Amino acid sequence: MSAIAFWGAVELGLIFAFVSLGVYLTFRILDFPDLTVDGSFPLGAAVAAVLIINGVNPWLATMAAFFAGGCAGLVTAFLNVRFGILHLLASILTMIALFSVNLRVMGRPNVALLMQDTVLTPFLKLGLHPTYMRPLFLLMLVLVALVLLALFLRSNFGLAMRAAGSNPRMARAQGVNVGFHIFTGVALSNALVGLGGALFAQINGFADVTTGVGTIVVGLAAVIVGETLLRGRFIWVALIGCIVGSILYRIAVQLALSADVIGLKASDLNLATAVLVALALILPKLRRGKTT
Amino acid sequence: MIEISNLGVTFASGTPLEKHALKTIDLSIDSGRFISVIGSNGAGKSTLLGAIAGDVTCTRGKISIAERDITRLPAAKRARSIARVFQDPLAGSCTNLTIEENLAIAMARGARRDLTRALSEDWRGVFESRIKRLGLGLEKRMQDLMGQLSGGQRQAVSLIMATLAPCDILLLDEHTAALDPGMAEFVLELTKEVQRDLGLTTLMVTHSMSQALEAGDRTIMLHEGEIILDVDGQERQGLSVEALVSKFRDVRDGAIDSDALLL
Repeated sequence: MSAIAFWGAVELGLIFAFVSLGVYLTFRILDFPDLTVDGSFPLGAAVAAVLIINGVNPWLATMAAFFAGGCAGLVTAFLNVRFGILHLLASILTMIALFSVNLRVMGRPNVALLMQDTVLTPFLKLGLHPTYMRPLFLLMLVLVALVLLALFLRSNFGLAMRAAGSNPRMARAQGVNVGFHIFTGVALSNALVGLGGALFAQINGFADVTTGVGTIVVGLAAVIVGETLLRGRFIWVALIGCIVGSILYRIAVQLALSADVIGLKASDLNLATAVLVALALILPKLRRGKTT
Repeated sequence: MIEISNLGVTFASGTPLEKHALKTIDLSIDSGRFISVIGSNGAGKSTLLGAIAGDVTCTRGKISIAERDITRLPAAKRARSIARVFQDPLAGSCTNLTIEENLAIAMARGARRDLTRALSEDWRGVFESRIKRLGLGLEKRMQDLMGQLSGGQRQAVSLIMATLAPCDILLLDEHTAALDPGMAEFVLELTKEVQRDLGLTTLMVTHSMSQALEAGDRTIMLHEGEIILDVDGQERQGLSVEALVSKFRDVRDGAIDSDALLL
């Protein structure tokens, strides 16, 4: 694997770190399997790209993508909490609907951002080679998100959210409005994913309606890789695990694709991902089976 | 002061499976009293607690706590005045949170959950001194996950959790039933101690006749959704477990007799 391919993988891993943090919030904290992310990732990309080509400040466009993702999450939470639709199904409904919404937002299947100023533009003028500047810039953003999220989850509000996901009956007995915390958590999760989509569009120079396919699996893969490597009872350890997992996952994929011996093509990516996630889900069960 | 009047709970109303879990309950509990509730399976003990806590919807009647009508409030909104310990030791706390995180959630029971840090040094100090009094050595394991504790330890912590924030009534739903005899005794002693020290108004459901007489200062017996015995003061003092068991039998046999008459 070349240096450029390596740093490219790190860069992609850092973008998807936002996705894995979001997926961690829903899957692990709220125990709410949420497939909305397959739609909110391209939604974030679409919103940011369209606003940027219409001359909006790229930071404002990125913020808008964050809120757009949050709104998508609210729809899923609303279907689940208010009408009792199974969480998985509610999220699939939103995801499907978002495909059309994303086409409406962009007005066409993809939008190019070539020659446009993005959040990255001022940093690229600092002199460091873009191959290193892009991951460095993303790392800064990811660290900010990590600190804010860790503080949030250790606050009274965040603890109540964790209780609502872990033991709803206990949470209710402690006066926690479980439905409200599902709303907030799913919205925050999808807002992070939307933010990831916005960064993806700006760094790669395009937004495409099909980029969302498999976002959930990639996010889940990162969460599981992180959990396997970094075990701990502290929330920030788990959050760092999500980020590390996301980067390592991308490097592993890059390695697999660049090793000629295995004979994998870029189009085999989704198959490789699915196999990897399935293995990561099966291995802990096998290990447990041996000990008991 | 808890005031329950004409309370009725019917499950599956209007269907062939209709069940009157509570028929007509009138009960008034003065502040600071410790009431034990006994009755056979299906007598309505847990339904009564559930109705007070808000898990069970009342079909009719009224429940008020400290002169506030709570009959229609959802469980989460009643939490400010109601503390609970469940029968299942796993039900009252979060397995994948640490002991101190669980305590912090309980400390803010019924309060607004804001974005300030939950585990402040002040709170940690309170938690440590309260947990230390258990004498289980858990004060050294505050950052261990709740799931690492035994059922008995968890139930003891649940009891501490229930009493961290002020409440108008403490509801204990057979909270020693799932524990081994030694741990059950420990948790019961702890319950009496905490109740006495904090002067908590307490409603404790139990299966054990001796526990019902040993703990608390008033005992009520439920049968088929009605209160059939309510003993207090002098009368209760003189009551032996045998006498209570025979009263229990009388009522049950009476019920069978009336069934026989129907047949």
